[in-house]
Amino acid sequence: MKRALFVALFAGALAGALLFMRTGPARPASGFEEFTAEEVEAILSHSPLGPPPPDPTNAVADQPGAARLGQMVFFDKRFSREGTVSCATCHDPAKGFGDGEALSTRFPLDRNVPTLWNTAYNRWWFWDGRADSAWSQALQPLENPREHGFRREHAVRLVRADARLRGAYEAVFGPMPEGPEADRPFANLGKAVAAYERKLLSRRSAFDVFAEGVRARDPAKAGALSAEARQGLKVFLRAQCRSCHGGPNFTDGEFHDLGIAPLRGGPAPSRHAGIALAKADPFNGKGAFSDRPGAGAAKLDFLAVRPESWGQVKTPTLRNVAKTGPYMHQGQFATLRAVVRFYSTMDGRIASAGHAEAILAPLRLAPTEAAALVAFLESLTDESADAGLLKPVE
Amino acid sequence: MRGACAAVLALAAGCGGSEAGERRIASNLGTYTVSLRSIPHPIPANEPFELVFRVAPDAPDLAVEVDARMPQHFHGMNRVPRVSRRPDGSFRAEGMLLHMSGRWELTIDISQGGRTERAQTDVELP
Repeated sequence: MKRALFVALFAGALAGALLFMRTGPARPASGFEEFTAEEVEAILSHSPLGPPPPDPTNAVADQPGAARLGQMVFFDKRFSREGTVSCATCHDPAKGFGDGEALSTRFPLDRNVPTLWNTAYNRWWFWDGRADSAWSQALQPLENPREHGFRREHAVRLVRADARLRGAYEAVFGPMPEGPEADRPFANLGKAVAAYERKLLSRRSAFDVFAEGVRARDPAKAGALSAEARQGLKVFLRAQCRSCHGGPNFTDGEFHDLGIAPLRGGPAPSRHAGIALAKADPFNGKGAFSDRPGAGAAKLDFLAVRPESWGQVKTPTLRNVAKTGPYMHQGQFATLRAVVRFYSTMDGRIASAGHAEAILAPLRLAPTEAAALVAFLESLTDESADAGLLKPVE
Repeated sequence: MRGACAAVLALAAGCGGSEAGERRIASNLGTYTVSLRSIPHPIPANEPFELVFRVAPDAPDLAVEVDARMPQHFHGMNRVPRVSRRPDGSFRAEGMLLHMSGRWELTIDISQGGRTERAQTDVELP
């Protein structure tokens, strides 16, 4: 009552001043005593997760034939110098489309392998965001000497010589060029891989069923979330985790510096360098191989290298997070419990060389709260993936 | 409701609105009044948007810059918006994107003859 009176007084005195405020639809009454109206509004902002946003730079992003070709390429070890490495080598479906390691013991990389679940929702790819589309991302490991070590000319030659690959390619992109030009067909292979990865969706978790129940005031659906996970959800909201892990995909898709000590290689510029790399990438969204350069330009041209960009890495999605450990950009934490412990204590946090997130402060969670927060994070797992996407095309 | 209270308090310094979706802000010395709206309206969280605004009194040599920062986070947008004149004389700021929930300070710096004034208002993203 007191709060309502307070608001009414100010609203009357400042009529017209609130027109920029987000008003949004009327909040549904939750029917669940443990969540306030404000918490319900926040909960509903995280679900449902709609289909991935369009990628206008990839004209075949939603073509089934392209996804099929992409899946063929994704699992094919011939797309590597020694014939021993496929995309699935590091992005293993059985390991949350990661490799299950903090840092690869097979490849000399200094970043944890990011999951591919919900990669189609990204605005930027790689931890430093040096790719501006899923298809430009897919091309880089193929030619990285520390990964596939392949060359685009060899990739094109392989497709040209393999009847199955060639047939799948030509069904989507038309006749395979016979000349030496490799850039265009190479870009097309990236677009096909992106079309496949676009189908790797995590959208139907216990939390989503719960959110449906809250929205519809359906206690049966709301029961999809355990009491412990609901308590963890409250902690998640109270701790403002959603400042960065906001929206239906539980990420802002942007970059932050938490002050986590590096495991290998020392502090790196990360996003500060990633911006220049994204702009210089010949396969970026405004380049010659984009299917709509104007859309790519709108994304890249406003990018700013800010002083605070130094050391920032991308916020990962929390959907399917229980499947995608170890966590952080160098896999500094093996378990979700360790992640929560870090946020709870901030032990080991180092002074940032750039701009550490100013709002970070130890959450000082009680053991039951920490366990509950882990239970909530585990409730973001979707087990309904199409098994046919998790293996090579038959 | 906390967001609503914050927005009310933050807007208490000399602002008002007229038609739906439009906000009027006075510059710090009161020389200028900026009438602005967002496209789309309301400003979406973590999605690109534009600002369209007029400055009164207007002059051909006005230089205008737009930015947004999160005072509690000590950082701003990850983009630099581009301000241009539209054929009808109004200004357009492209490339805006507020990527985090919370309170943002939206600033419009208006310069003429070596003197700059700032019109500032708050945006609360849930």
